[in-house]
Amino acid sequence: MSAAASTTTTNGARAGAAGVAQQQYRRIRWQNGGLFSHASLWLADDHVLQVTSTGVQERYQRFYLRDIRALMTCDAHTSSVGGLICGFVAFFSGLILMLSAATGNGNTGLFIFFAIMLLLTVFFLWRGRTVKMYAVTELQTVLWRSVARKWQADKLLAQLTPLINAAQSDLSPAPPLPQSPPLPQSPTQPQSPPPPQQSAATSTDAAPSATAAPSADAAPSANAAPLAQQP
Amino acid sequence: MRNPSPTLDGPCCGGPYLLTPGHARCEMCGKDYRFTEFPAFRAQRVVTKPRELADTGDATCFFHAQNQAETVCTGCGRFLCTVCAVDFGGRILCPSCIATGKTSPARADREKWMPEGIALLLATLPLLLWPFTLLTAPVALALVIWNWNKPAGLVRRFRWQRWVAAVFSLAQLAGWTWLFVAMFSR
Repeated sequence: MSAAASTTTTNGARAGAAGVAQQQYRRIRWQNGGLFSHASLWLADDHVLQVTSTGVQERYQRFYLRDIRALMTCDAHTSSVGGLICGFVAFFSGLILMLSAATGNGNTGLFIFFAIMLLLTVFFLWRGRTVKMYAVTELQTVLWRSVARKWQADKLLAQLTPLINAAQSDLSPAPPLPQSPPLPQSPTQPQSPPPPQQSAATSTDAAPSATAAPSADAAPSANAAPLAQQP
Repeated sequence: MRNPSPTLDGPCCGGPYLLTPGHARCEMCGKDYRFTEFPAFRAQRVVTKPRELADTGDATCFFHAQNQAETVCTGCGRFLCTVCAVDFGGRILCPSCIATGKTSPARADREKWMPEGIALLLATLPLLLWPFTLLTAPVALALVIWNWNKPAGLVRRFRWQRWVAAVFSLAQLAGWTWLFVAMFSR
């Protein structure tokens, strides 16, 4: 999905200042990335710019504040898996190191390996939980690669939420669909028994919950619930 | 036109999402998301409808002959209907002008080659096959000098690559010069 997401949304093209030769960008997220490319996030007056750089080429993706419909964050298990693997390796190499030291055969190479693994474990734990953050617009859902940790996502949400809400302050929510009249029952159709009271109460309780497709009754905007509250 | 049932094009498997305040769950794979929605998620969608020709003498849209022209493209001067007129940063442009980049280039750039990155590659990679540096070092140095004052990208940041490329290519050129001088002085 993100591979085809190199363009900005069409609605976003409407916003912005005319004839601005060089936008003034402020960095909101530092570079983060893999072996061959890295990404960073920059904030302009009316949009967020994701810059993905391979060293010889930069790709730009613009997300106009007015177009961002939602930000989605989910857990990525990179840090826990990495920390677990490094922790196991550090534990066993430390065990072997202790055994070899007890027998009087000290091994400098193994000690260095153990130290590196221990440092990597501490690094994975210290950097915090890893997450993936996606920007949802009308046309696409794009991963913001430079946001990799939960604290980074929290910080970015706190920074962007008021800006996006301000940019979309003139948007009015759609009115709910009118209730369709009940179908007339044919005289030959057997009368169905009334639903039990229990199920009616259950359906009332379930009102805040709504599937995305038929979500006319879904709860209104609720911003920035902490990730720890996820079930 | 209303948008009463917002659909969510989610990142995982594309299934329907169960939305609760601040939370979304993919109903197909069960993945949980922290969901921060904004007014645009449930906003009314504005649909612009063009006016059809009332009189045969009316000007027509360049792209839609059946629609009445209502404005003029500031980029190329074509008559446009309301469908084709895009308000691009305060200017009314037609789709073809946007596609051909008659907007402000900084706002339309999708990608950009980084000359200093290419220079760095030219200055370092051929060291593995060092005779090639006779050719690549001058090219790398020329790239660095040629693009020294040009903006390196849309965003401003320190471009260390140009410095490293310049130092490496200068060192290689000095090495070649020393080699040639040593050869011809014998």
